[in-house]
Amino acid sequence: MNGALLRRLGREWLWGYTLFFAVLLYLPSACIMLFSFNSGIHIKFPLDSFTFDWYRALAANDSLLAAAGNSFRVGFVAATAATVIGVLGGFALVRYKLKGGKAITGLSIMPLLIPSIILGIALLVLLRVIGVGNSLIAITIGHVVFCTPLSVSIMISRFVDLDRTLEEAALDLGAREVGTFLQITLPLSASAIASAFILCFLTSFDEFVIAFFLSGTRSTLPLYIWGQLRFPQKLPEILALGSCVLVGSLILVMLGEILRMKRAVPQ
Amino acid sequence: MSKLRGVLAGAVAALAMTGAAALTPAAAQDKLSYFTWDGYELPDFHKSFEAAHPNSLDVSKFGDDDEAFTKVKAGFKPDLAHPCYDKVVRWKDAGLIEPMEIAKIKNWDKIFPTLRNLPGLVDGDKTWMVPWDWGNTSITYRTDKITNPENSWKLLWDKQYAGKIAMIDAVHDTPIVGAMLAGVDPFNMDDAAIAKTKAVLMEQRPLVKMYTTDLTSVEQALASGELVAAMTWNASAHNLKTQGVPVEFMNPKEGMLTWVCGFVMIKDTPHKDLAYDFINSRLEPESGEALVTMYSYGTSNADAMKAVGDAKLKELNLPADPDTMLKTTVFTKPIGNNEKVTKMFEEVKAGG
Amino acid sequence: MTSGQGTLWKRYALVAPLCVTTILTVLISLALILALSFQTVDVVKLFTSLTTDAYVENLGRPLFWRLLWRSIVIALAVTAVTLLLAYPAAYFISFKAGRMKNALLIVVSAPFFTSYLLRIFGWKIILGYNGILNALLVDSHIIAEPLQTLVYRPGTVVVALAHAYLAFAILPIYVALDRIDRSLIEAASDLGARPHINFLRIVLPLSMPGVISAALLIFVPTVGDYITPTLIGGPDGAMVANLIQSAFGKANDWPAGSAMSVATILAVALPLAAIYGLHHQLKKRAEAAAA
Repeated sequence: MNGALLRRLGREWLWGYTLFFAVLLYLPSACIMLFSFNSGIHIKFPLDSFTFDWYRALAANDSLLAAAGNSFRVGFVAATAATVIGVLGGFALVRYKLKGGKAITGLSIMPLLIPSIILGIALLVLLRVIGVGNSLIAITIGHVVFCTPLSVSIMISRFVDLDRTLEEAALDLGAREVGTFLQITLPLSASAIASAFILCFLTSFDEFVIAFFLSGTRSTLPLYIWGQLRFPQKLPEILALGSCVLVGSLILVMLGEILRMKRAVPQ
Repeated sequence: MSKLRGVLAGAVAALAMTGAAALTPAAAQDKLSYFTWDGYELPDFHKSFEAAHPNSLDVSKFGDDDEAFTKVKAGFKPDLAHPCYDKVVRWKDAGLIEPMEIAKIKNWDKIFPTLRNLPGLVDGDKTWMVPWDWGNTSITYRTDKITNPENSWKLLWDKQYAGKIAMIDAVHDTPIVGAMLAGVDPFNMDDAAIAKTKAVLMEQRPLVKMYTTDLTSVEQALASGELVAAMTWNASAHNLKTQGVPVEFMNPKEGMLTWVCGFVMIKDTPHKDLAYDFINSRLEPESGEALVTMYSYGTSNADAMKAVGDAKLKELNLPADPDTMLKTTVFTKPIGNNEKVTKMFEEVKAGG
Repeated sequence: MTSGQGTLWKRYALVAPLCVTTILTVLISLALILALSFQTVDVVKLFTSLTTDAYVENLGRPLFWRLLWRSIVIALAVTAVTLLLAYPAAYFISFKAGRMKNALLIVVSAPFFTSYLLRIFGWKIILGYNGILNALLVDSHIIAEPLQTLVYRPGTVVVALAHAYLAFAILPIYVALDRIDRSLIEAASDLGARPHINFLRIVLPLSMPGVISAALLIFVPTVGDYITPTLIGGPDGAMVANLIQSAFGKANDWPAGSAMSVATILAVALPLAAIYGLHHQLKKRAEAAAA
């Protein structure tokens, strides 16, 4: 009886804690959203009146929309490239027992293990040597480097979990390796591929340090936000922008995570 | 496997093409690439250029002209850049810029004489920068929390305001004031003078809540009372007054700082004609007036300042004529020994 | 599957882009930084002549070591706080959440991918002088005047960074917990082990590989962060990456920045290599136990 009560208390405690944990995670974002509807320029309590003005101003701000467009393009291309690299590399690493495969798997997270500032500077020098100047293309290349570890690890864990019987059956029936890969393996991994793409896209969309060093004439959204910090009157607009970005990326990331968790083979 | 190779090659090619299409601006070659302070790209500042050359401007922005210098030095090649006077010598010495052809600048004679004859900007028959915007740096303080202070930069060294002071994180601002209070020439410091300045800045450091160029946070903090005094540009004082915050922009006896920025031509740019059209458009009275009324900073064209009107200028803490003002303020000219001063300031900020 | 020489070559070709974008790029980057660190300062050209000046001058300053030490302390604090906060939540999701498992996992990991700069700003709103926390404390008469000390402090950096990595840290811990064979725990319970003994003897040791990989993924980027200290650290919150960033930016002394980067990487890499070795051992043991 006593033990059961204790166990229950333990359970409830953990429930409460996890709830608190989730609230804590969303607290700063919620504050940004709250103040994006506040009519006053200053962030302080009590709030002034409710307004949609900052959202309206957002829609009319050309340089902001341009920066958002750039971020979308960079994110799309970088995520596509990182996902393709991750799918091919992850598949080869899991299916073929390549010599050095284990080392490659381990080392492929290296871009996550050196500070972005060093990666950013080094890429700046490196890209200059191979003739790519500061530009969106340079940022995209930087983001491919930064996102690939993410896509590879997602794809590796998917290919490890993938039920191989279907692949083997296809091969036994005389299908060629490429056909099997395209018609069996890829469709079975579609949800993980989509998830890798979405997470890479969001990582690129949010990345600041590498973009800071590699940007040229056109900036991405985080660079734009950084630059606006010196214009106090723009703060509410930035908060409105932030709310849109937060809501949009939350929806996307949830979609990505749902896809990542979907089982390879429905049971 | 050959099919896989085909698929792979196809995927790579498709990716490369969509990537290139998505990331390369159409016909970027015909545009003027302008590298400027964040916020100084607004079309109101060059309406006639927009009208004559629609869609011909490619803007890149920086938040600090030292960073801008680093980027151009690292290989970034705009056509026209917008650093400030104290940095131009550095750009020139690094071989990044070429002299302006004054004959091509229509309103050159309308520029305040002091501004167009700055030593270093003009050497011999060469002019390296066309001045456009200028403003003052001083102390913005809360009049309800600090009553009738002595008009001196020493206010920012006053221990009773410990933790309620903010300084601008730029070599041409905070260290210059430090040097002035240390009694050395801010623009010509040898190692001993740098050490003296460092001592003065270290004395102040425990009082400072933040060294920043994030003026959003500074204004927010002044409005809330988190800060009572801060080194700011004159626009901040005006912004806060407009919002009803009781502040004043001090005129310290040691002198406010005055900065001036302008356009420099990057070496061997292919778009010189566009660049001159752009500069001419910026020097029209209408453009200058837009700068003054929108940002509360001064412009170099005397006619533009006249158009704004004395009453408005007074409200903005701007003199009608910078030539007289410059006799009382400290002009931020190029700093000798810039690298060492920069390092010293970095050390102060990081804790000595 | 049979694999002739030709096929083998093609299989390696599939891994090649991965090796180029990750391993090769990072190695070249590190080599470049190393090469740069032995150059003389030249405002115009990058590669001039060889010298160790950058090391002598920058590593000779006590300032560098003080900031490096502070960065390591801050990063360790962030890592510890993050792991302590994330572990119970990961444990709950893996062991007790039942059908809510996936939904909860999504809810807690999603914030990691939302705008980092903005979340720092969110903390300013909470901890600022006129922020939510001060407003609450003043309204409930706990304090008379708003606290000045909540923001622009090294502690603020710890809070913001720990929060930033919470959502991320939970994933590897959860994966490790989820891999634990439940029959082990049942067997122990059948033998009369109390729940907390079960936790200390079975769950905690078997989840260590996840905890350690989470620690690595938090510690390394934290040591090298300069955005958070710049925005909310105040003068005493500056970290070593602020020095490196200013050397590459304002001070325009790339060799100095490179030399400090090399020293930082070495100072951080050595203990990390030790942790990694430990990680490997634990993983082996966990696999042996699972088998």
